[in-house]
Amino acid sequence: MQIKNFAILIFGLSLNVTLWGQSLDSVFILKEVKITASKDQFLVGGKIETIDSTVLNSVSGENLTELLTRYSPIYIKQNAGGMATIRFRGTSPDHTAILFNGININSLTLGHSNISGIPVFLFDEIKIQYGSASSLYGTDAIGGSIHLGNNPEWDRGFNVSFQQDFASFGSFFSGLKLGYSNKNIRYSIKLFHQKKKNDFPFLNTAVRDFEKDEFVTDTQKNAAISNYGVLQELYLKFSDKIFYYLKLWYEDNWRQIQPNMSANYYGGSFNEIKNKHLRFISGFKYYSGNHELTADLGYVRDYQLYDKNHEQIISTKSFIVNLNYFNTKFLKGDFNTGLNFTYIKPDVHAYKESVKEKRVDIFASYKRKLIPRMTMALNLRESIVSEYNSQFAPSLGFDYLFINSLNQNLNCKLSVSGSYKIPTFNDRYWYPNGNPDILPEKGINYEFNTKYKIIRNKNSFHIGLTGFLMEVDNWIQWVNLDIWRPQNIKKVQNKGIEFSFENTIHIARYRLNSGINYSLTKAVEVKSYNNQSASTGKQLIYTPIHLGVAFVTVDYRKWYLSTTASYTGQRYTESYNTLEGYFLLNATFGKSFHLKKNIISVNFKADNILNKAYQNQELYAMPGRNYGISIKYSITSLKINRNEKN
Amino acid sequence: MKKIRSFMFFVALAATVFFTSCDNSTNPIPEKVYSKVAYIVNYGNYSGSKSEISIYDTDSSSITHDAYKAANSVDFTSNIESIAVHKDIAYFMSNNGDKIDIVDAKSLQASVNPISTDITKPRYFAADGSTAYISCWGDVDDWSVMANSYIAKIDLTTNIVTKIALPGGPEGVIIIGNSLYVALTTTKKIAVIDLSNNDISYINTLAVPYHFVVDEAGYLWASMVSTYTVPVGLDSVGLTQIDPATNTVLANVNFTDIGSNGFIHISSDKKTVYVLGKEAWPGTASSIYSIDVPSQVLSNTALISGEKFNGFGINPENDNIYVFISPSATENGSLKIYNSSGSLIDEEETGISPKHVVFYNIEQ
Repeated sequence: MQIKNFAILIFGLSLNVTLWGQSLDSVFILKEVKITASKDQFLVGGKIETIDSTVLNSVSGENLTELLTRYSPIYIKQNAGGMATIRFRGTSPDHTAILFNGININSLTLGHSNISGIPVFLFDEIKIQYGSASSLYGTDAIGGSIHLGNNPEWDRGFNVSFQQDFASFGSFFSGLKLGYSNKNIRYSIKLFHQKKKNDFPFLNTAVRDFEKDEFVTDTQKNAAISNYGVLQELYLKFSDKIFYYLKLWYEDNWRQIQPNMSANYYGGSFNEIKNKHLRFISGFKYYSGNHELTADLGYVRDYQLYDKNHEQIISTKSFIVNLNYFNTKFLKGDFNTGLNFTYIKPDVHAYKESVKEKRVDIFASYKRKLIPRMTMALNLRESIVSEYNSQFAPSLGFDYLFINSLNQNLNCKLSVSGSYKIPTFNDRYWYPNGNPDILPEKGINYEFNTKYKIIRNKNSFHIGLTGFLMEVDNWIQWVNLDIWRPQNIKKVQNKGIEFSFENTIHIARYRLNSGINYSLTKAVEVKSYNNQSASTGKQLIYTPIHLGVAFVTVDYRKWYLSTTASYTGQRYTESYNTLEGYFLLNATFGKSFHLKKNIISVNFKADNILNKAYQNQELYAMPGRNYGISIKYSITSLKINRNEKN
Repeated sequence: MKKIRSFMFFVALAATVFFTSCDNSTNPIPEKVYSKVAYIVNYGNYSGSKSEISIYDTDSSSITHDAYKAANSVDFTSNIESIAVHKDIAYFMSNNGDKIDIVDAKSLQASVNPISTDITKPRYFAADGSTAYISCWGDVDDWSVMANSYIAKIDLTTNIVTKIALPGGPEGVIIIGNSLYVALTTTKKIAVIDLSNNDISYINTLAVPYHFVVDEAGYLWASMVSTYTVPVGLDSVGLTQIDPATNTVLANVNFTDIGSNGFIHISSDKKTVYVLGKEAWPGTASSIYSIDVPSQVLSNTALISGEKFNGFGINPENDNIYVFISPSATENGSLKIYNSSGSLIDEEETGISPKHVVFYNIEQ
């Protein structure tokens, strides 16, 4: 098994070399074209949050699931066995784009990502963008998007860090980061292995012993996970004008499919699933005066093996070309334009051999100050899919600064944006169920944001409020029509409020950081294209109206205590039963030791401290109180002598 | 300023705690007295909400939902594949968890634990005296073969299971005389098990068999469909009539639009077989056709037409046809009741994915 993983890795690396060659050619041909890495600056009027690095550090042995459930007001539908999907602002899992350096990594066959397979360890910058932004990020960005990336730090010498976690129910995590950078080269490799047995005890409220008249006590079965991953990044500065980058992310995720509480006791289908993902991107950036050009090539391979059945493999390959041109002085503003070309070849047992697809996205963005305190941005994107539908998504946003002084500011933002979801390959090509006539999902999002921030000395306080109204039409769902088929069955209206505040104060040698993120979401089916629908006018299933997280972190010298509390409101299930809301409390405390350039930190954590028995997904058991210990060691800034003199 | 900030934080935190401690109170469901009922199985959602029973009171033409929970004060937590009533006991063939639930047919109350040992993916039930035979798919490695499928033979006095190995994905079961007929859904064969010695013989058919009824003359009718793994020509699907005395095929009635589940039922006089058609594609139109047994002729037009038919049943008291409609696996369906000439009599909401019905006379 290990050898096989290694072989794939080597294959991936050798592939880089091949693509490197290609990218050189492409760049020479497309000399005048260029790309920017971040489109976020054109998200005027929208809401984007960068997750604090101390927060990322606190969940570095976990996955995106734990990060989002503890710190963001976004609902994650999950079980205990390594399956979790995002339901951003009352939308479906297919309505969140997950981007790795601008490449959407959602499964092309399934339409979404299992965020329990995305480790926080590999990234030092994670951004959450709320609301529709297809004009910037393309398909799937209806409810929001998640951006995974890393910030290259130049001239830092050698860095090594190692992390080892142990936790209840056979859980452990090992991670290693190695890096080197000088003024012209930056290289890093991050490797991890995560394993969970997940054999936790629980009171099985789905199984009544009628002879004893009590619920049975049970132990979770078939919920183990084992994930490996590696991310390599290389940046080369050829001159002040040209720099090259290469990123390779490989994941090998295996998990058992957690049975529901009834099947856990009585037996049923106990299955497992293996996923492998290779994500590669490599390209050049070229700067000259006000101009910036980027050209890169990407390759994404997804592979899924269900229950060791090699007859039914689901896999896709995508070849991606991105070109981008950015100008900082275009009609007194910033201008960005470019195109993405993707060639997709699926290899899925239930598709016809001939299935393949080309997609071309053409986009342009323009941002400028209208008046000194007011910025506006207009974004346009046209997405063309071969032998299928083309989609147009515009967006327009305004940002007005009411107060803009040295220690406080208050701004208000307004935006309107279109969005779309190109139906998944399964929706269109699965034989015989696929529906070639299925329409793309289309959304429109209106949003108002306001944020007030005050900074005094080292203390800061901010408060933010967002209101949104979104409509998603042609919502796709698989329905049983003699056989199961996907159909455009409804129009959904989502509206809500998001409130956040964060406060950092220093008292003596204590630093106290606390905050709240709360969301209120009403997501209602307003129209049904399905004559018998009984759910029109009702809140969508698995969409809590109330969701909130609160956190308090106290630092004292090298000591650290952090508490997070989350409340997930009542949700409806498929049969419109209600799943009770639940409140979870987690805490971590630890200390770090600094010995010259060495840092050792030891953290203890307790999750679900109140030992709450709860169900996130109906009839799936979740672990009660559990504990863990994490040891991190790092040695930083080991510069070579020449740099040290500097 | 600091005080205000701290205050706001703690108010918010307190509010969060408060929300969690609020419980919704539930109203007790008043007990209802029934005489003649139709127990409707709402299959639910395989990966989500589970099955429930709705009770349609044929006297008052009214429906009550979540009857299992009302009777047992706990949720039903499996998917009921089929239901049968035998000797005043109702049996639920349940999947995910796999078991056979045993409840009192009058009250739906469970007093004994389900049978789960040696029960894997149970499908349909047939019983004779104190022995029941349940088709089970077993652990499936390859859905196109179903090599581990079997018949669970249950001694209903002890609830002890013995397995009779029967590869091929057994579905519909029926006992005629001393033989158990089993439709094998990964083959074009009906298995005939001699119940005195468990010897198995096979009847070859034109298409894939699914379900059975017995007509007035005692002949067996089997629905015949085409499947993804065993595709057959349109001229081979429909119904097949078999003489159980000789186990030979007497006639094949071609019905090109037969539904993929092969659901069939027979009238109380056993002279009309009703069959669920497949849905038109593209579209959602569904229909039920009838076959006149004596003439073996399929009706020219649909007896009942509608959309998204998921299953049906015939009330033996009056030959009313109960049609189940399921718009999707995540929302409630409905029941439409037609008389034998196809006129709509009543319509009610059901649970998710209603599929099967058994009629039971509580005051019998």
